[in-house]
Formats: sequence, structure tokens, C-alpha cells
Amino acid sequence: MSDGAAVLPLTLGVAPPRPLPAAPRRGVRVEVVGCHRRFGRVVALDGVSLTIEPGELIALLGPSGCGKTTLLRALAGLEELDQGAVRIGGSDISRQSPHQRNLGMVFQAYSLFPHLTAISNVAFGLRLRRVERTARRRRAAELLELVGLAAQADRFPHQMSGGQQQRVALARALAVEPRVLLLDEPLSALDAKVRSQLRDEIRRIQLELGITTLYVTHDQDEALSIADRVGVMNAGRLQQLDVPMAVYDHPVNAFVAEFVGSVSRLPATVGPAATVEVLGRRIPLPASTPAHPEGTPVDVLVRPEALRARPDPGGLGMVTGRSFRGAVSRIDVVLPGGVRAAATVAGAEAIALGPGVAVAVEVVGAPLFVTDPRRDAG
Amino acid sequence: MDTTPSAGGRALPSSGLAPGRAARHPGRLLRHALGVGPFLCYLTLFLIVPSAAVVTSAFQSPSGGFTWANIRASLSGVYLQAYGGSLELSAIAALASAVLGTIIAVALASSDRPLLHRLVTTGCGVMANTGGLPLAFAFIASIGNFGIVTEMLSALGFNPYDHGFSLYSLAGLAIVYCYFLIPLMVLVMLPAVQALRQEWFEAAAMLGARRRQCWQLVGIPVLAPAFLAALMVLFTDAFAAYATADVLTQGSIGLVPIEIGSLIQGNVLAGQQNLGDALGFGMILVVVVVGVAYAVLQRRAARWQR
Ligand SMILES: Nc1ncnc2c1ncn2[C@@H]1O[C@H](COP(=O)(O)OP(=O)(O)OP(=O)(O)O)[C@@H](O)[C@H]1O
Ligand SMILES: [Mg+2]
Repeated sequence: MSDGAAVLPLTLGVAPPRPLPAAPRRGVRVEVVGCHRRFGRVVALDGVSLTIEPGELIALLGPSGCGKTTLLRALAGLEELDQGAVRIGGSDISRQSPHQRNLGMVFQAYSLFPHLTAISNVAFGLRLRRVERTARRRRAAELLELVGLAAQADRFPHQMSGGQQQRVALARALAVEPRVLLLDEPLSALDAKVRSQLRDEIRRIQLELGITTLYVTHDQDEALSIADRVGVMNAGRLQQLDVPMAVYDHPVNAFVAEFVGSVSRLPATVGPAATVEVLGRRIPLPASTPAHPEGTPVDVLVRPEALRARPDPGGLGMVTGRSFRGAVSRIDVVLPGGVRAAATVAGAEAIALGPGVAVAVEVVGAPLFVTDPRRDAG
Repeated sequence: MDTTPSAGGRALPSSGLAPGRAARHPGRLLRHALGVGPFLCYLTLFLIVPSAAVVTSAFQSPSGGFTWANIRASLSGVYLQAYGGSLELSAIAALASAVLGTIIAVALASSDRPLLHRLVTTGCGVMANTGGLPLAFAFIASIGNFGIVTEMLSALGFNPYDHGFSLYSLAGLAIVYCYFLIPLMVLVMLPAVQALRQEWFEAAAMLGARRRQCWQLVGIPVLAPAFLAALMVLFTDAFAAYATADVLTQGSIGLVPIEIGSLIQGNVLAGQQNLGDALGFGMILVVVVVGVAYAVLQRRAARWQR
């Protein structure tokens, strides 16, 4: 801890506003290399490697039990690795215990010390670093200001809402100028409105401080909206790590395609000359598709944007649901054989597409993927 | 005490009336009285009436007039020593048991073996309720002058009785008291210890706290209110314990409950009953003082819970 003035740039609102930094100024690189971890027979991490660039925010996304928390905790030093290494700023910290690592962590919920006020919670790490009392109170107050809770400084945790508690937890983690910020589903206990608001705020602060951040979530909207890059995990493995748009538009496999964003899985047959026949039309196979002999039954994965539904009394599909979402609406359709599909339509067209209306559905855009058929699951 | 009589009060749910009107509603008042009534009766019959009788008698001469003589006598000679002995014994036994019991509760809470849990809590339930003759004889048989453990230690060349230990001393009695106070502490503290969240310790560690500091700055302050409350229960429990001490000490150490017992049972000399009640009054005062001290400490320790 340096002298009180040279701490985080928290004066943004007070001093002449500085422009938000385009490039991070103080982040460190985080490298996770070949991490393995089992719990009995459960393989929680199965060879995960990833690099977080200085100042970058990576969101880790995946279904429950896929190992996200385990990876985060391994970074924090709260969980041991069977194999693999964690490097921060180039040096291996795998052998260090949590209190030596100087990383900031925000837990899912209720991690504030219940016997301390908000400001004392924030000052806790500074107290451990023997920062003198007035200096640490001042700095804690600055951080509460940063998260918009200056007025709640003297409240005890049980006197604050869940959202306020998480803000304090964020301020507490940031107070010690951690090298890396780790967040494990920090918003999952909050209601939707608070969640999106706080999510944007976390991103603003993260950019302001330029701190390297790993953000675990199972909410894809959250991941796609705040991350520089999104990592998708499944069964202890990192499936894909890329910018949000690429993960959405070019998923590397069917799992990622189905997990991020919504897709329809349509039965199809491989046709001649790198085509596939789906919903009575022949379309080109995506380039990524492995070669299949002609006539092989396959599934085609398509985004709602690549499907068109229009009212047609002779159509094979029937509308089962409709949700208006501003300019575009989403229509859920059931096709013969119980196949479910979702299509986006322009707001005006959606009016004619109420539940029960017969529709014709066709693939108008490029499919994401062609995979082996799977009929049982939804 | 807090279960039986007040249960009637909880069984009556509040009606949907506005609070302002409800308070003045006579039926409502009656129902409140019905709820609290049994408890008040209980309190009056078994606490207030006997205490009042003790206090009155403490200031009565054998002829029935007012006197300070009993109080004066109860604060001199063997009786004053008995207070010293009782306070010392209860304080040592309670404090030692409170600390050990908390450590056991913490160890128990951090192991996730359900069978061990059930075994220990059941065992504690039994041990915490063991007292009187059986307990005294168990200890005489194990670490008495010729107890099994004593004999075994002598065979190894270390007879504790040659090194200043005696079961029939204050220290020996303190050990016996710990036998039921530690399990009581475990039972009382376990819920509080189980309410400690792992995240608090992990958050503290992430902020730079070593294990010792995690306990010092988070675990102990969070447990403090429950610990103080339990300590007070243990102290009063030890302070009032009679049967075990009576068997073990045979009058060799003065303790207030034993002095009272011998005064009440003894040859009916004039004024003995009043002297016993004066000692009883002193015990009530000690408990009140401890209670007040507890309330003051608790106000500080539990500031964050309100
Ligand atoms: N301490 C542990 N003991 C035993 N198994 C564990 C332990 N911690 C995690 N696991 C197992 O390891 C796997 C990965 O767990 P992890 O908590 O990392 O998942 P996650 O991706 O964070 O899931 P969620 O979204 O539900 O939080 C799970 O199958 C879990 O049951
Ligand atoms: Mg998790």
C-alpha cells in the first residue's frame, strides 16, 4: 500500500473528468494452465487452460456443475488443483495460500461480515495491511462512493438490501487494490432490475480501474453484455473462449450453440454436393460440417433469425407462443413430429401470428451446425 | 421455561385488524392476557414467591422482627469463605468449559459426518444432564484416591495425589463440573457455530487474513454474543450446583449451596433458617449482578444484531 494519494483513481467524479481509458493501465495477465481437479468420482476440471489479458473481463458461462466455481476458487487459492498451474503477472502462484495472493473476490451472496458496518467491511483489508485508521476510513468512504453507497456507510449488513450488500462486497474487494477481481455469480441472488443495473455498474468500475477480471455466471445475457470475451464451459472443459459475437455467431460445437442464445434443432437429411435438406428445402451445408454420406439423417441447428414463419393455412407448423420484444418478436412453433422451433419476425408481422395459427416455416439464413440427430431431448 | 407456558400465546395468530384499533379491542386484550397468563403464574409461583420468602426471612430475627444480624453473619467467617469458594469454582469451571465446549462445537461443525454429529449431540445431551450422586461416584471410581485412573497413573510412577492434586479439592470439583458443563456448552453453542458462514472466512482470507486473524477478527466477534449468553448459563448452573459437591467435598470445602444445605437440614437452632436464607439472598444477588454484567457486555457484543 503506497501513500494515501496514489491509490486507485477514484477522483473521477470530483476532479476534471478524465476520459475512460481505452487501454487498461494497471491490469496483470492471468494464465491458467492445464488445470485438473476431481472430487471423488466427479471431474470438476478436466484440463482447463485460459489466459486473461491485462485489464480484460472474461465471463465464464456454463451449466450448473460444469466447474466454473471450482476454476475461480482454484485461482483464488481456496481450492487446490490436482494438476496445473496458475500464473499471475508471469509468476506462478499455485503454491501461495489465499491471503498471500492479493486477489479480490465477490461471492454469490451474504459474505459481508455481519458484525461490521458497511464502511468497516470495506476497510477490513486495509486494517489487515495496517493502514492507519483515518486513512483507511477515508479510502473506504471513497470506495462506498464509487459503488454509490456513501449514505449507507454506517449500516450493518442485515440493514441493507441484497443489491446494496453486493455493492459493499465489491467495494470491499476493491479496497485493497487487488491484482485480479474474481466474481462468482455476484448477482444471482438479486431481482432482474437490480441485476442489470448492477451488472452495468460492475463493468463501468472494472473499465475505470482497468482491473483484470474473471466473472462467473450462468446467465448468458449477463455474460454476453459485459464481457470482453466469453468462456463457455461444459463438464469440466472450456469449450470455447472468444468475443461475445463470435461465440454467438460461430459456436465451435453444438453444445455452445445451444447453450448460448437460442437455437432450433431441426431434423434434416444430407443431400448431394454439400447440401442438406431441411423443412423441404435444400440449403448449403455450413463449412464446418464434417463430411457425411448422402442420405444420412442429421440435425441442423439454426438461430431464430435464420428461420422465417409466415401464416399459411396449409403450413406444417403451428404457433404455440409469441413474445413481443420491441421491434422484433419471437414466435414459438411446433412442427410435425413434435419438433419445436423458434423464429424471429418483425413486430408488424407478429400480430397475425397468434397461438394456434398454422404457419409455414423455412430456413432463410445459414445454419450454425449440423450434428448427429438427437430426438429425445428438447 | 420458555416453551410450555408461552406456547398458548403463539397459538393465537394476530387478526387482520388495524393495530391501533386492535390494541383497544377488549377481546384482543383478553387473548393477550390468556397467552401470557400461564407464564406469569409460573413465574409468580416458582420464582417470585420463593424469592420474596427468602429475602424476607433473611432480614428476620427468630422472634420475627427486622434485623441485619443474618446478613452480617452470612458475610463473615466460613460463610464469606464459602462465597469465595463458590465464585472461584463457578468462574473457573464455567470459563474453562465455555472455551473447551466452543472449541468442540467448532470442530464438530466443521466435520461433515452426520453419524458423528448425532453421536456427539446425543452424548452431550446425556452428559449435560448427569449430576449428583452418580456423577460423584463415577469420578471417585476413576480419579478418586484409589480410582482406576489414579491406580494406573501410580503404576506408571505418577500418582497425581503426590503432586498436589485431589478430587476433593476446588480443582477436583472444577473438573467434575466440567463433565456436565462442557457438553452443555457444546449443545448451546452448536447452533451459533453452525451459523458461521464459510464465505466470511474465505472473504477474510482473500483480503489478507491468516487463519488466526480470520478467527480473531471475524469468528470470535461473531460468536461473542452467543458465547457470553452461554457463559452466563454455565456460571449460574455451576454456582447453584449442590448434590455433586455435597457428596464429593463432605464439608471439606466451603461452598454457599452446601452451607445453606447444612443450615437448613441441621439441628434446628434458633435463627439457622434465617441465616440460610441470608445466604440464599446473597446467591440471588450474585446471579442478579452477573445478569446485569452480562446485559451490559451483551449490549456491546451484539450491537450489530439490532
Ligand atoms: N467440495 C466439493 N466436494 C465434492 N464435490 C464438489 C465440491 N465442489 C464441487 N464439487 C463438484 O464439482 C463439480 C463442479 O462444481 P462447481 O461448483 O465448480 O460447478 P459450477 O459450474 O460452479 O456450478 P453452479 O453453476 O451450480 O455454481 C460439481 O459436480 C460439484 O458437485
Ligand atoms: Mg458455482
